[in-house]
Amino acid sequence: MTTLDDQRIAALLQSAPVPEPRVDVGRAIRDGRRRRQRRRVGGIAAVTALAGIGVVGAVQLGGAAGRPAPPTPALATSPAGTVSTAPGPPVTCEASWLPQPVDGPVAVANSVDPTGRYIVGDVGTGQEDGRVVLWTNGRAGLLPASARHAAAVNAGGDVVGTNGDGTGWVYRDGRLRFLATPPGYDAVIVHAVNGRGDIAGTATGAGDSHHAVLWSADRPQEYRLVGQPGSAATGITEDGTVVGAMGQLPYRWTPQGSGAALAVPDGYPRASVDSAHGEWAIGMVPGAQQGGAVQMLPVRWNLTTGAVSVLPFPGATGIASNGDLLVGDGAPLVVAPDGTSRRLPGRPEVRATEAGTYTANGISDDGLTVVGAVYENEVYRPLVWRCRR
Amino acid sequence: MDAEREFVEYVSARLPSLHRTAFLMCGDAHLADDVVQQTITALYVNWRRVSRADNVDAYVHRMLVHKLVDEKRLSWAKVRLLGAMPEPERSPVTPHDGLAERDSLLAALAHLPRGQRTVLVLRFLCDLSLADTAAAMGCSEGNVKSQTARALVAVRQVLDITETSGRNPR
Repeated sequence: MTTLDDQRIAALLQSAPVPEPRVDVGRAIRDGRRRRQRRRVGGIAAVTALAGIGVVGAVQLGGAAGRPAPPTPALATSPAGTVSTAPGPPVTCEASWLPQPVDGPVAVANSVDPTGRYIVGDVGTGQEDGRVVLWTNGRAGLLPASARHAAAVNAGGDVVGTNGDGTGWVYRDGRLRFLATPPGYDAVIVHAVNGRGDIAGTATGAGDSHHAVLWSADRPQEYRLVGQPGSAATGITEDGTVVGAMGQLPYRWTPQGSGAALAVPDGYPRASVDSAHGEWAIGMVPGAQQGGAVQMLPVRWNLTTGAVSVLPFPGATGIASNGDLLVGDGAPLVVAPDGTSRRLPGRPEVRATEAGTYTANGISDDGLTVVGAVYENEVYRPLVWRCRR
Repeated sequence: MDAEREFVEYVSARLPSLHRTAFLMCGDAHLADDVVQQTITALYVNWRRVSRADNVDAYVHRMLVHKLVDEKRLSWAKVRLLGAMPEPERSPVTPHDGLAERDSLLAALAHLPRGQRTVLVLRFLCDLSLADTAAAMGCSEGNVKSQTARALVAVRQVLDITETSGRNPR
């Protein structure tokens, strides 16, 4: 073989006509998240089996940093009536199906507004036809087909999300509008919206450049950059406090825009923030190395006191503004700030019993509405848990 | 989340080249889409580990090859389950007058066994070393060498034939 041959073949391969890719990055992230959840769940189930214990009941918080991830209690399969195991008013929860406006084997509720009235999710076949669903008081409506992958909904029913191509959008009063991508960046990732219509996300560009951005739901073509280049926003509270990162540091910005780092738990190299509600934020720290993978451990910050703690759970999916923590993987569990916990019940007709059958993705501000999905027979169905004190 | 942003950036930047790689390896647009979609999903699942290890490209190439093999195996199994004969090989594009050289290359690739096709794409399009190609394919360097040699013979034949027919009006 001659060098000329090599170069020529390489050049031909580079220039050979190839059809347009039809690949969806957003879907990869969504599918990947589910798979990651299932995988983590599998690991936890194994730990439980090895330990030979079926923990049921209260899981105490606090003093947890040293001993990550004890086994999660086994899934409750009773149709209704899971009860708080601690003294205090009992909480009764019931799981019910959310109606699907279109058929599709992948139908999942992803987020709920602070009041529990609005729920958003995705329905699709797993192909390139996923639609965003907005359930209002349990009634399903479809968003326009050009909105994909809803991230959040606020108490006014405004829905925000990011399409697979990195375009942000907001759906308000029946109208879909796209968010400005700040000049110098090619994509955005939209994470959260509060009751005032402040939308938080991150603009990304070439060479790893990124910047936290705020938009307003009523003027989506305007934007405000938050902090310095290198910032990222992942959440926003009702009062306009933004949480995210600055470089490797977990970070928060006041509604006026002044920023400060959040504490990193002792003994950990860094931490990231996922979301915030009320005075609480949750995120992750890298834990122990396990077979080549790093196990991420959930952490919680109190934004008022600045205190941070590593949580003794496999993961934290959401936080309510009253401090109720949603552990969504495996056997969905809600943990109150005082450490008492309640498991969420299953549906009687669901036969699958393995951990991971139920996924919980979002929690309302009073901790009483939780949304998620059931995975059974290779089909996801959307589900809501409604609880009463 | 920082990791997610990095993932989106990496994948967005590399998508065209990933898809080209997959398409040239398998010659089927739908299969290439599926395989790339599966690969980036798996990449997302393992992103923290893979991105930290600083070998993202190697991981992606290995995933592409494995997913392609999986897909082929699955479609073969389906045919067998139905009790029908395996589908005949896709009939290669026949080179004809005026066909551009690069189209001939596609035709030549279509003739090649999968292993030869894969080494050609990994070594010449992705510019992988012998060792990296062997790692991606899960075989020995000797195997890569011999497959490359055979693939080159086949490709050179096709290209030379095209050039000859181009130079000699009939």
